[in-house]
Amino acid sequence: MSTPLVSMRNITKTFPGVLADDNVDLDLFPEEIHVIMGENGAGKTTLMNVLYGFYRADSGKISVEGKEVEIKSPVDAQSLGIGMVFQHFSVIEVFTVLENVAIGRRDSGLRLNLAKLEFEIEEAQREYGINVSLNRKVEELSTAEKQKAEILKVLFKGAKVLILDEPTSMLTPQETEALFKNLRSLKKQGRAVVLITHKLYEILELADRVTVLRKGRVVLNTVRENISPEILAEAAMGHSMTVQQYERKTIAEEGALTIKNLSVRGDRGEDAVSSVSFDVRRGEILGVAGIAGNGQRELVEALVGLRRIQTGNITLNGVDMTHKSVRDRIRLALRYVPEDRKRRGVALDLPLTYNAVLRDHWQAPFEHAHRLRFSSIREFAKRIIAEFKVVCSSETSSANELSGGNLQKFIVGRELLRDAEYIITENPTAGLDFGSAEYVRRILFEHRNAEKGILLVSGDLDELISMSDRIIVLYRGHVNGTVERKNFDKVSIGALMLGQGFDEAKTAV
Amino acid sequence: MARYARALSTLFFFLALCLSSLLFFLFGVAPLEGLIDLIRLGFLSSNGLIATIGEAVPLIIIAAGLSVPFTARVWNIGAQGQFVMGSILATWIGLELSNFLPPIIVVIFALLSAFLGGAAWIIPPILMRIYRGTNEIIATLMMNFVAVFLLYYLLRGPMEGAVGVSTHEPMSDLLPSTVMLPSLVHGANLGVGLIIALLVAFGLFLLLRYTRLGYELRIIGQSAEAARYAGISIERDVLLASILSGGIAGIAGMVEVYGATRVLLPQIFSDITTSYGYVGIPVALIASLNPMAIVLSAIFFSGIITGAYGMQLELGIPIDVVTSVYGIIMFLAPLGFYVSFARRKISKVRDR
Amino acid sequence: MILEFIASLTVIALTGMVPRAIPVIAASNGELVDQSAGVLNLGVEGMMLIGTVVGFFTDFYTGNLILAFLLAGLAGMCLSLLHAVAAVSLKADQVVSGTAIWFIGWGLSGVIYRALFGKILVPPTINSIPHLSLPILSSIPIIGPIIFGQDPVAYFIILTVVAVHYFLFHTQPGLNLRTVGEDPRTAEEMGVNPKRYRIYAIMFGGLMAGIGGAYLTIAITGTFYYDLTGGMGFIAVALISFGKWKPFRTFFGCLVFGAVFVVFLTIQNYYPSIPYQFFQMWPYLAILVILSGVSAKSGGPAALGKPYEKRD
Repeated sequence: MSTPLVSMRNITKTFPGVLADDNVDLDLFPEEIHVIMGENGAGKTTLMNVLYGFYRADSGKISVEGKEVEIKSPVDAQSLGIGMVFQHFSVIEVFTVLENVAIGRRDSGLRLNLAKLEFEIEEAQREYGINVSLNRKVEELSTAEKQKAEILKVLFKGAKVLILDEPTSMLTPQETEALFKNLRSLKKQGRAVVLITHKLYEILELADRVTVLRKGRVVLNTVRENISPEILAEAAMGHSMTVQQYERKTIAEEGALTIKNLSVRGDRGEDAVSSVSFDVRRGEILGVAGIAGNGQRELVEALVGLRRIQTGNITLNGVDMTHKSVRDRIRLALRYVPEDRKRRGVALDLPLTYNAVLRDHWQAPFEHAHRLRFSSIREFAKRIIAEFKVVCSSETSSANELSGGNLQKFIVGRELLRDAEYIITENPTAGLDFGSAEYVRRILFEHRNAEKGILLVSGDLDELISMSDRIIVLYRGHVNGTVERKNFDKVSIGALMLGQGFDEAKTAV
Repeated sequence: MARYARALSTLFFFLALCLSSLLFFLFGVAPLEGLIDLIRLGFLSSNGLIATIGEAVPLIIIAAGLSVPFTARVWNIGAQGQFVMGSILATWIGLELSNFLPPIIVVIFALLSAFLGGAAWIIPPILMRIYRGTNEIIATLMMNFVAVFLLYYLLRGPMEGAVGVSTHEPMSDLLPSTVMLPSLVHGANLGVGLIIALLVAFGLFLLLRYTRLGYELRIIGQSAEAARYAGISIERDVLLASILSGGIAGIAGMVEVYGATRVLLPQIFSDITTSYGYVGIPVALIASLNPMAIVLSAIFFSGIITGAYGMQLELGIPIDVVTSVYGIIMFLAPLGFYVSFARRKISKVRDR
Repeated sequence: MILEFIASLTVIALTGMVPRAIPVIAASNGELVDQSAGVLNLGVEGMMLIGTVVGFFTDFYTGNLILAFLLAGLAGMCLSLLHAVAAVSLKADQVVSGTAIWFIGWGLSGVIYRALFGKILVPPTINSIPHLSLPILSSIPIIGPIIFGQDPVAYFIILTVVAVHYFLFHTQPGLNLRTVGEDPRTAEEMGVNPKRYRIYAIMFGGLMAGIGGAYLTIAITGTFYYDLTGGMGFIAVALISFGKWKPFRTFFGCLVFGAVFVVFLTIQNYYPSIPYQFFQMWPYLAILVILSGVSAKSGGPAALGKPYEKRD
């Protein structure tokens, strides 16, 4: 066994209220693809962020090529040969690929000699086996090409260790295959490739070595020969892999939020949602599965009234809602817990009292003849805090004093304590600590049992499986399958999320 | 946390005062002495106090009006032009109509037309912001220049007064004394004008704190995303707030002519010390956009002018010190707030 | 008749537009660099005014033009440093800080003038800059004087436009600076220090604004009076979005502005019965029209106006 390129020992990192990494050891060997896997929140990204210099570990050591080092920033990491490609690429959209690679170069002198750089990169491209057109603006590239540009940039800076964080989340199956090919050839060139993922399929395909993290600890570290889906699943999810059981009451039959042939345009005029049809019935949780970026955001915004609809219609309990304003929809008891809780969900620098009525301040009892009634507002805020156990100093504290979990509980409370017939929520437990996440899930479930209809958009497939009555899968803005609870199966749903059946149908003409 | 910020603001405020007093050095006056003189002449002498409060009246009105769009982070820099337009229309009404109508009616018409004039002046630039995304700072500012030149043109042309012809000074005819706002001291805004100012400030205070519009403006100023999520019609609220601000600045123009000067003069607008439309900006910002605090802030700023005039007479220190002082205060006082802001960390929501 | 009128106006516009445009060119060029780094500095007006007064009195007392421009530029730069502290180090609201700089510059310029010249009713005049007339070339009818007959400072300022263009789009630091303006986080990750670039950009903006102000008083008006710049600083900022943050396009916009200004200045003479102020308002209305034609939502550096907070 060769010596590791990178060695991490006893890495511990905490954030307020959360222990992200707990005494983690990790070795990265050259000519290997090392997969770090685990559930959402297991600590994988944090660990790599420590290696890449975005975070400083509370304790522990890092060695590169046998020598102990201190990594204080990404620049340090890069000079040590460590490169990272994120899910949200750090590229400048309006620059060309070539320009993006050229940012921050030290040794090339004052003049920006792009022609020379282009020549050097062309050579390098051949060596890496990556092919990207260098002179197009990044914003014109597809996601897969952007990713290739990112990888090229990282490699060109001399990365011997290449870390990729959930690289396939926005790729089509074909693009994913192409990526795998690249990664394999890169590893053969002597690099250590690190892949952060939670997708079993990728691990089985690529991994030479696997480290499984659960709740911040390493629970498994083994090589290819010993890997099997069962072993991995059990390691990642532990024995509490049991799908959280909620008591399900039977569903009422009448009334629904009906979406028919909905088409919505995205920010750049593209077709974000194409002819989508489905129902959210009362007393059910309809889960929306899909890789982020497949139209979920635009769909939700259209449902809530924040985005215009091109064609199709939406009816709520028989009332046509297609062109109604945000407030009209609130009047129809449609509530919304947004994904972006800090920018959309609240006005951060204002007190909780103001935020408590963010969506309802124009209605009685909070308003009367254009005047706000602060006594009612304060009471409502206090009620939210009490009933949802929001930890804060008082109802007048500022929203930004709350932790993420409490902020989310507050927002959920605000939406649910008002007239709520249908609730739309996006990634409601993202970034929350376990206790708050469970709380939110339980509350949603209680509302389901109280015959409310819930549309749950989530990137957490386990959460969807445990909570939903039915799941629809969004792929490239279309509904790529509807699955009943009895047929819930992670692998097949995952395949639908990755476009199975869709791309084949499209190519088979 | 807010208290800490306010304390720092006040500290920086005084720091600014001290720094500006260093300017006195340029004129051979010891800073501390100069500062004391300034305060004495501005606030502590009877003449000074009268002038201070009278001068503060239009300032209060304009600054209070500015607090409305500023709360939504819509920067109305055009108050000067709106002020001018209000005064033009009010003067015109006074000159034309006082022969036919009883004074009280004339005054009311003047008030209304001043509001309309100011509001009309802000509507084009604000529409540009709403529909074209134009920077309202530049757009409203351009309107100021148009207004001032328009004024000069009118005063040398259609609205030229009899007195002006002989002295070659641009000014209109005098308004009849019957329509002048009653005041404790002749020629100063210490009566009805002051009452109007206080009513406006109080009214806007109530608006910002207790009405739905005030609430929505605060949200818009915080986060446009959150505002849309809240179902707020940003365009409608911005337009409303701007019209209010423009109209109120116009009213200030009417009050200045009907309460103090009695005549339309360009000096009112070309001298920085009476360019209430511009001075109103730091007055509003220093008072954290709270109309009641604006009353105090305006009196303070006004006192500096009065004191400075006094010093000009007594010690030869030019009036331009005042603008620098305003600038320094406006720069340092909010910084106190920002220093505390920089230390504050937004609660950690770790999305891992 | 009409055709002749328009023709002569055009000639007048073309010959007069360059000097009129130079201060705006200088100021907008400087601010362009600011904005390309993501900083919005609305205090250009104040920095120009400081440059005006410093340039004026330096020329008055020493007659040394180079010194005058140099000191004026330095004065503008010092004022801009205040903005640097506020906007970059303290992460204050850039709009508020810029407005304050405007006030400070406005007032300080008046103070300095009064301190040095007292209350003279008729402001003193100073020598203007001798024009550089290249021998043969400037005799070309119409175009000759325009292109080849300007004074050295004007040429220098135009050269800075070229220099800025080259800097921003053909050098490594220029690329780094533009990266800071688009996404400071990515810039930092690539080893570029956003704070440093922003501060340098702000200082350059102040330098150019100061020089532009000095040119206004030395080369164009020959004197100093209150509110000399008449909003030119803001017009310069507006022209940047008109020019879509490209130096040459902005330069063109400034020339258009200069032409409009000169045209209205001239038309006055044809209508002596109408008070000249009537014509003075039109350039400003013209700017408004130009602004409304441009949809300002597109094209600026993505991080413009947003203070940069370091991660963690």
